[in-house]
Amino acid sequence: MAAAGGGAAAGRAYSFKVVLLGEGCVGKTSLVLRYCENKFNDKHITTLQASFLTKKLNIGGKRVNLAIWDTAGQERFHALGPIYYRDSNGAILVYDITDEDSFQKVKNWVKELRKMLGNEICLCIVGNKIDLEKERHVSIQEAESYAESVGAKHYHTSAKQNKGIEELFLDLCKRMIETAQVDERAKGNGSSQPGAARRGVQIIDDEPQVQSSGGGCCSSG
Amino acid sequence: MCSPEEAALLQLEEVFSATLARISNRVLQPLLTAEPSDPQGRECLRLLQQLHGCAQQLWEVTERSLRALRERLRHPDAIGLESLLLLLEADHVLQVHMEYIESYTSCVVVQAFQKAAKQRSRYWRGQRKALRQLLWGVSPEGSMGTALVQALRQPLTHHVQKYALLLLSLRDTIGECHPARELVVRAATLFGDLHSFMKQALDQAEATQALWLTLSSRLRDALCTPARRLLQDSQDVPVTVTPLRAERALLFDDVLVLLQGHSVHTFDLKLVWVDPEQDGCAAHLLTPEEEFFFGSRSPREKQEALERTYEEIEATVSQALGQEHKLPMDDLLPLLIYVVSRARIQHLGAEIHLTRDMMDPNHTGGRYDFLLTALESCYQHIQRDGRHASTAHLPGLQGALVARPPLDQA
Repeated sequence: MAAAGGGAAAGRAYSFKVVLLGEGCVGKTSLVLRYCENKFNDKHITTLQASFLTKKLNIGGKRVNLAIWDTAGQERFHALGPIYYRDSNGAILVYDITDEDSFQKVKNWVKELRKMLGNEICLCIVGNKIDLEKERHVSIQEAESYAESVGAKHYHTSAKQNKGIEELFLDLCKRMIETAQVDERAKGNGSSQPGAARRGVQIIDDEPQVQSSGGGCCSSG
Repeated sequence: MCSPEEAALLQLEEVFSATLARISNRVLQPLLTAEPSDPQGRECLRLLQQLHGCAQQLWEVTERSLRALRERLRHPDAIGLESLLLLLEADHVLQVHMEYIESYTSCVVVQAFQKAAKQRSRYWRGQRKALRQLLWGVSPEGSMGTALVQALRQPLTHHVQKYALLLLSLRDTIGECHPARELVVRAATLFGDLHSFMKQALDQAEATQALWLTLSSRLRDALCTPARRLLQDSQDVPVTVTPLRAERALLFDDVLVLLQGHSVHTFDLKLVWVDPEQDGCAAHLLTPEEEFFFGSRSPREKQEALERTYEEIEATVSQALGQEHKLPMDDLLPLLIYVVSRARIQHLGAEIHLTRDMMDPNHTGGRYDFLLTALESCYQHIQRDGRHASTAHLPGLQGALVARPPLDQA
């Protein structure tokens, strides 16, 4: 995997795809809009600026192109999830701290993502709307310990007050860079053509094989 | 010593030989008693006679193979593996199979079974039950002609597949230094090829037969021959033809056919020169009579069309709301599903697939990928809850936006 993630070689930028998941009214779109607008504040009007956003970053001298994919939160579109999150480097799972149910949905997404994509995807669980602390229905402790138990990071944000959002994305980018670097090292330095390796024809040997030593596809985190 | 594969081969040949005998007695011979009055019927009868001949040869070769296997299993120490007919005369066995398959597919293409069975429909109606007990694959419903097509097809495909598998397995079990090793390796390859040939021949025959049913009888009479096979239909691979007009292009194994209304242009493939354009999306075709272009929309054009669609949706919504509105996916996806389902795009699944395959890998994860993914998700959604999804949830553009979040409860 590590799709476009390749390219530690000097001068080349990392390209990361981050998918945004969460129930309808948790504010996932506002969160990203806030993040992307704040920085650029450009008046140029393009389509898709609320559902597909890009951002260029420079983190410790490393250039990063971030593509953020929004998804529809309605339950009846849940089954379409895999089409959107395939090949993602990161996922931001947003819930509303005043809505216990939305936290439950996040747990479902985590389970699904870990099952489908394993540990290669960096997960961020985000409790949004901390400006409504008084109406909190999801305990901080529960959320944080859950995140830890599934190998995800937990963040508290308020899109309304622009709190915690920069940190969230910065942190996520750093983690994705790390993952990409580990991945690159594992692959060796020889073939770091970004993307090219992924598409193209794959030949799979369907001769009966000896069972490999565990690990396999079922290792959910 | 004999291997379990040889015992399995013996069993396979026994079953196939018996099945062929039943097919000959209970299906082919009765079909040949039809007395057609028209030229088409006579042609069908001729093809069925030919098939009967091929079936007879196939049965004979199966019997010989069976005898060789029996001998070998009876005296495994005296008679070597290489004495098996399947190894010794692999080419001949293969040839007989191919002739049978070709003859059978010709009958399928011109619907010979259906036409001949119709002649004596009362007789065949009475036979269905008995045939079902005797032959595997005869369905209890549908036309008798179709049931007969299946009655021949199932045993054949099963038999060839098993041949290929058992020979492969035999190849893997005998030792490197076995004297018959080379023969086994060769036979395994040959019968593996036969299996591929058979699958392709059957698929092409089925597609061709299905095509004839969709054309007018005039066109069918003009184009249908027992040997002709359909390779591509512009209904599956969308192309445009310029400057000639053609609403449909059919590529057969011998001719290219362009259809426009009642007019039919037929070009002998031997006399067609094809010059691919550099962009890979068009081809220049030269024939003695005509010169024309085959083109498909380039992936680039498709991308632009996709972008315009999104722009249009957003502009329409902004207009309806009287203010600029950015659409998050919660809003965009239902609207897009509405638009896509109303647009009735032909071959949408194939188009998406093709466009994605053509996508520059550098776009992966980018805007174009996103646009295409959103379209793909619409397609899946429309497919999934078919009739309900397209319109039932959606009261209209404005309704969808005004009462947010409206779409879950709908």
